[in-house]
Amino acid sequence: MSGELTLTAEPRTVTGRRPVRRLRRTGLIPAVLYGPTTQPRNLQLRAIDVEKVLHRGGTTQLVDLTIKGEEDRPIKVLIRDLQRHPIKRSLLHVDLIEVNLEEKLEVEVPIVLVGESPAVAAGIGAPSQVLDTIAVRCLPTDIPAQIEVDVSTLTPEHDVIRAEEVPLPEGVELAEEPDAAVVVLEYISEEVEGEEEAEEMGEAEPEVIARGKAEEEEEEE
Amino acid sequence: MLMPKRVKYRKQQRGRMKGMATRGNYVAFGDYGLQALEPCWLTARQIEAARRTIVRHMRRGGKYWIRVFPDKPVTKKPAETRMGSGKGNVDHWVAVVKPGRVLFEVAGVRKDVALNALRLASHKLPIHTQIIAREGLVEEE
Repeated sequence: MSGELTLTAEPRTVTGRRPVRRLRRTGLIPAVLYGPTTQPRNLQLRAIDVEKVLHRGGTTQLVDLTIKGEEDRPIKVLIRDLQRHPIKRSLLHVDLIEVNLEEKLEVEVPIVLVGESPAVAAGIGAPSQVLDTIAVRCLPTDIPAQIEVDVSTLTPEHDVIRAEEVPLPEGVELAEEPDAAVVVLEYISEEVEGEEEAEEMGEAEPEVIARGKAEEEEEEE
Repeated sequence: MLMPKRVKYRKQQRGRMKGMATRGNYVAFGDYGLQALEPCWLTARQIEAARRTIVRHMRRGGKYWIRVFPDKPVTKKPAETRMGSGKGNVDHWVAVVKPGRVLFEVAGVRKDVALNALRLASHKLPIHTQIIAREGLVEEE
C-alpha cells in the first residue's frame, strides 16, 4: 500500500442519467473534484485505473491527479467518496477532494486488529471490533494507510480498548471521541451454542393493535 | 422462529417485488455479508435454517447479524376447502427480499471461516446469492 499513485482524468461535459450511463458503457466513470478553495469540476476517469488506485492505496493515500489538456503540475487529491452498483459492485461515481499539503485535515483511517487476546485462548470471549475506522487529524502527507490495534492487552480486567489508547504515528492526532470504544471483549454466553436458541417460540399469533378495530366499531354506531 | 410481536393488521395483500434493494444493500456491521441476487419471499424457516448453519460453522467465535426480518404474513386456506368464504388463516411469515439485499453478515472470525459459513448458509436459501466484503475492509494477508 504505497508508492506513487496517479490518475489521469479528462474534463467531463456530459451530465444526467442517460448520457452518463452511455459514458459508463465505454469504461469511464463520472467523477467530481472539489476542495476548500476550488470550484467543483466534473471529470471522467477510467474505472479500471480507479480500482487499481483503490487496491493499492484505499481512500487514505494521496493521489496525483492529472487533468488532460490542462495544468501540467498534478493536483494532490484524496478519494473522498465512492458509489458502487449494489450487485455488480462496479464503480458508478467517485468524489475527489483537492488537498492543501500545508493544512491538516480530518480523515477516516481503517483499523486493523493484531495479536491475540488471552481471553480467546482461555475460551472466555473474543475481541469484537466496534469501530472499523478511526478519525484522525494530520497533514495529507502523514496519513497512515492503516492503524494497528494490539488486542493482546484485552483481558477480562481490561475489556475495552478506547480511542485514546490507540497508538498513533508521529504527527497524527486523534479526532475521534477519546472515550469511544474501538475494540471490546465479547464474552461467550452459554446459550450462544444456541442451536435450539430460537427454537419454536410456539406458533403464538402476534398481538393485533386493536386501535383500528375499536374505532371502526364506534363509527358504525 | 422470527415473527413480529405485534401487528397493526392481521393479513396483508401480496404486493410486488420490482427493482433492486435501495436500502440494506451494503455490509454495514460485519466484515462479510451474504447478498441476494434474486427477488423472493424468504420464510422465517429458511432464515432460521441459514442462521443455524452460520452459528454451527463459526462455533463459539465471531458475531453474526440477520439483516432481514419476516414481517409479512402469508395466508393459506385449509386443504380440500371450497373457494370463497374469505381469506385464509395466517400460515407463515416471510421477509420480502429484492436483489442486492444483504441477508446475513459475519465478523470476528478468520476469512476462510466467514466465507465458508456464508457459503453453507446460502445452500439453505431459495435464491442465488453472492458473498461481499465491507467496503474498505483491510484483508489479512
